[in-house]
Amino acid sequence: MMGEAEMLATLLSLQVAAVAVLGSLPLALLVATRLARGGRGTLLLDALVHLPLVLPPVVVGYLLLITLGTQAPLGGWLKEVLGLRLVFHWTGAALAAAVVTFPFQVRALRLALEAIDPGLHRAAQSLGLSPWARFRRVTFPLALPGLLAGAITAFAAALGEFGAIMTFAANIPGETQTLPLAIYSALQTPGGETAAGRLVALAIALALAGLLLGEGAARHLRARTGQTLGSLR
Amino acid sequence: MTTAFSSLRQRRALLLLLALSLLAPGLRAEEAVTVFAAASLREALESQAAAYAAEGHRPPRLVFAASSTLARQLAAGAEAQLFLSADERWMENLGEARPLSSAPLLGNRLALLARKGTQPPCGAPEPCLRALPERLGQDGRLALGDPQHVPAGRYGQAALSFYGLLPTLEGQLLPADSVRTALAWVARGEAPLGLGYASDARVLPALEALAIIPAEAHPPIIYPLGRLLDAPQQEDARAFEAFLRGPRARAAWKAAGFTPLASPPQS
Amino acid sequence: MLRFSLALKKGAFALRAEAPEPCQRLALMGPSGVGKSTLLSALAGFEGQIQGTVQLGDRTLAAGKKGLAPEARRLGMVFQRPLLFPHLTAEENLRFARPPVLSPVSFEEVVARLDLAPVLPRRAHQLSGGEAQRVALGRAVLAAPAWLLLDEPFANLDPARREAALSLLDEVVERQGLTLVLATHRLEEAVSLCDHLLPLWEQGGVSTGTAEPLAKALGGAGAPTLVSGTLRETGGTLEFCYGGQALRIKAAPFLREKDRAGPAAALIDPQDVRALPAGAPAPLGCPRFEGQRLGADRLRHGEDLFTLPGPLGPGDGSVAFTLLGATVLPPRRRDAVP
Repeated sequence: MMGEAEMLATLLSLQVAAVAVLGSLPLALLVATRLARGGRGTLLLDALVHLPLVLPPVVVGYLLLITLGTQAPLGGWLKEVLGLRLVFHWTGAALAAAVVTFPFQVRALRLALEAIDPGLHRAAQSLGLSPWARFRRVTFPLALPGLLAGAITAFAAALGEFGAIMTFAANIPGETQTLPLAIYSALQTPGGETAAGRLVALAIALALAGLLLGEGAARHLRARTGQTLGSLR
Repeated sequence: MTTAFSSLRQRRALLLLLALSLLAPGLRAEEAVTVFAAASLREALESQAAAYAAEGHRPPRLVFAASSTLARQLAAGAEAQLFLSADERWMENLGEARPLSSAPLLGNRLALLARKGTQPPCGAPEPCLRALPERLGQDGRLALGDPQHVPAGRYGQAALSFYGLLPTLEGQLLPADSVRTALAWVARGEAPLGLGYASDARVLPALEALAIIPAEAHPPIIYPLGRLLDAPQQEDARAFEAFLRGPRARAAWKAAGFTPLASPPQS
Repeated sequence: MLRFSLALKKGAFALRAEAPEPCQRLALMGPSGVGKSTLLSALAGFEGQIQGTVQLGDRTLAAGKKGLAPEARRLGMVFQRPLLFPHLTAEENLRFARPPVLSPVSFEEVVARLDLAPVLPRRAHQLSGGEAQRVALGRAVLAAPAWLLLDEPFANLDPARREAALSLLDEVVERQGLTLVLATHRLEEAVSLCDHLLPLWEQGGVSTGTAEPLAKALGGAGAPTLVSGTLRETGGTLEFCYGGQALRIKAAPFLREKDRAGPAAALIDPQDVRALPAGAPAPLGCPRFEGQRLGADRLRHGEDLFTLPGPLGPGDGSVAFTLLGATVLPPRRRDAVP
């Protein structure tokens, strides 16, 4: 049913998207917490976070190239000292996808955090909980539905990322050729329309499955914490 | 009783008609010709177009990308008069979709390119090529156009296969969507070596050609120039095409590192 | 034992309050909006910019501009809203502070006394206001705190449950020697649980008050009496429907509610009470009723009959009235009333 190249592209897409989302989650949580708290510097931080949303993905890829390419000081250091390869490597594709989808995660997380009744933090404090315990037992469980929603959106977006990966990690089959890039290549090749069609169907199926799963999980969690959207109806 | 052309409306209509008829010769003014050309022709074609414009013509519009991309866009109905492809295959492919008249224009040579001063020089091309794995090492990648659809990539892959290097180097190839992208990576230092056209070394100052690949290692590189017969402004298209095949142009092509090919006389 | 002296400024709001003598059961009283909740919040350590000292027993919780974080103050706090954690069941909320096994108050006892058995498996959003309030109270008590800060904790409870909660609190406080700070606008709650009173009221743009022993706060010339009933304010005087009689008070009572048309608690000096002149329109809901004379020994907890000792009306002897909807003080604390 699926050719080897298609299987490869699918697995690579899933791998890249998963690593992109999971890898950027801690930072997204940190940034979202800082933004939710408000205060000085929030506006600037917010703008920076949303930059990848408004920049063309190719620009994002290019910026990554000049800062993290092997010739750039940071990129060279990463390669020499940590042995971390980014350019032309699936890790680079994951990084490119992570940067482009970062705003989605931060937004969803921030909304979830801001939706938590601030009185609950006081209540937890009054019961003697340390800041970490408060986060672990109150903030995190209540923000979980939002976190999940953000992660799923980011995952679906990462599955579809093209320009940034193309520019930063290149289109290497088996290494960085995710589904969108594979579709692009198939379209370039004469007679590749059928292959492209199959890949497109696959990409849609994956994205839909991810979205349904995530939304279902988020709903279930929301009901459990009494945060149903009933009040909006 | 009204006489002819006495009412205001009829007078106005007559004036309009007169004005239009005066403009009529001007409506047949020259329009810009659009040329879709392979990426490797950028600098050379741009200077040709400038020379053409200097002769008093409207400057042609030039669109550069991989031949594969361009052929697809033209097949889908993109509006251009001329197509300069980097191989015959894509020209034939386009010919299946749209009527065209094509003939070879240029030849080129394949070269092994590196960033200036980063690689030890080659001696004779064949031993140099056979030593590619050593030059690349474990991590290094060889950048080239995507062999699946970019002509330069196809030629490059053929050459590698010719020297029996394909099995060894297959995992170290870096396919790009056009030969210029591949060479940009070499110029940036992201890939130590690249396979491109000999003409590229001349126009990309950051690069140097370590070796010219012997012509027998790959199919002959032929750039056909085709004219789309269903495009508008056929006269202007023919004029620019004639210019590109003309003696002044031939000298310029040579200077840019291409090999002008003899073509049958245009009708 | 709590001692404090603090000043606080929050935008246009300023607060100055002190309890110079150590008190164990302190009631904060005052009209809505005067700052009772803010004072509680400041004692708990939630308000950033406070100046002053807070001392609990031999621990200094705050001095100058520095103070311990709320989580370090060993609080048990009930806020105006129940603030139950929505992702947990009532039972999990109760056990949230993870009291030690040998806690002075047992989980079962709290559940029994506050009648929480039926709601234990439910989640916060499935509870009524009263149920949630009781869970919040239980949660604070079970946190094995050193002191309890309660912000109108009985607001949503029906009289029977309120009684049960009051008595549980009273016992817990007594048994463990806890310090209690109760913000309320119901005098009978203050009187039944506390021995000190801090009345907060606004003077010159600053909400201010000093804690005093309850008897002293209630004492003074004229032997004021504690009543509740329905008050109505008309142009500088209070018309008071008490026992089927329409009365008018010239001087403002000691405490006044902002919500004038509704039920209120007040300290009234009977000397200030006059009967409305004949022909004046009767205050709302004030039917006539020929009362019976009642002796103090007939006072029973829960009965809505009350004798108002002391002269009322020009030149009268003591008069008995039948009250409309008044609350009888629980017998235990009656001895605080002089």
